[in-house]
Amino acid sequence: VLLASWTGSAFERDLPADLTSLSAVRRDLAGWLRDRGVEDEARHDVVLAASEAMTNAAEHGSGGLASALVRVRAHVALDEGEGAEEVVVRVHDEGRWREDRPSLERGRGLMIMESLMDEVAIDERHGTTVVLRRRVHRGQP
Amino acid sequence: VSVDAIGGPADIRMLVAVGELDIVVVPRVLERFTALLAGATAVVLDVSAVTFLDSSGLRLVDRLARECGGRGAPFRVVAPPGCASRRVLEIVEMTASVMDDRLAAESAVRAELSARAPRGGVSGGPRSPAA
Repeated sequence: VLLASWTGSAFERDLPADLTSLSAVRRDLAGWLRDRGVEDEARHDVVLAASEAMTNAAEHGSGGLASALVRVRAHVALDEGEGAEEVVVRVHDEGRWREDRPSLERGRGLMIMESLMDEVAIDERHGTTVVLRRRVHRGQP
Repeated sequence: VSVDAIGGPADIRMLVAVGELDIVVVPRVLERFTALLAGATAVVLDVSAVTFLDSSGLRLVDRLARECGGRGAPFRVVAPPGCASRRVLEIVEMTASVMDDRLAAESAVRAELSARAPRGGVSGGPRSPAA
């Protein structure tokens, strides 16, 4: 039974895989989370985890090409069963980075994501999509 | 956004990072790696003022630690509790060289330099090897 519903507008950005706009996308995502009243700690955690996912997607999925795009989507979902809200971030690229040679850095990137998020899922059906979920408490924006 | 050597105690190379240490910035810092470390006998990297650090920033810390280890130079990272970098360093358990402030880091590297100096002398200028 799907009891989750979206609340408010979604965050949508497509960034070139050369990552020249990575810092700007982090800032925009932080602003979007702040506008939704997401508390400081959760906001920082989501931005860091999303940045790691974007870095992986660009480096290993898209080869760092400016012509390749990394797609970032985020929304706040209300789980009516639990009465809790969560931020869900999806980072998508057209590559398959898990087949790439594992590196210490990417291992740490995953460790950081898993430590900061309630759930990290990787969907490899069409390219690679990393889905990050983090429960949040919201105050006034 | 940069990492630069600043004036400090003569026997310690003090590197101060500001801004964001991510996949875009770190490779540029690594290009200047050799110059940043030239002639250093001990190195302190201060990331207190860094507003964002991720696994790429950790790579910089790693490279510095390894390079210093290779040349026998004591190395510490300054990351006060609560700063953006500290939590990331803690998540990946890279806390062995992390200090709360610059003074503590300077004391730690000096203690290491002294311990290595022949006949337990203090750190400072070059010494002739013990006979």
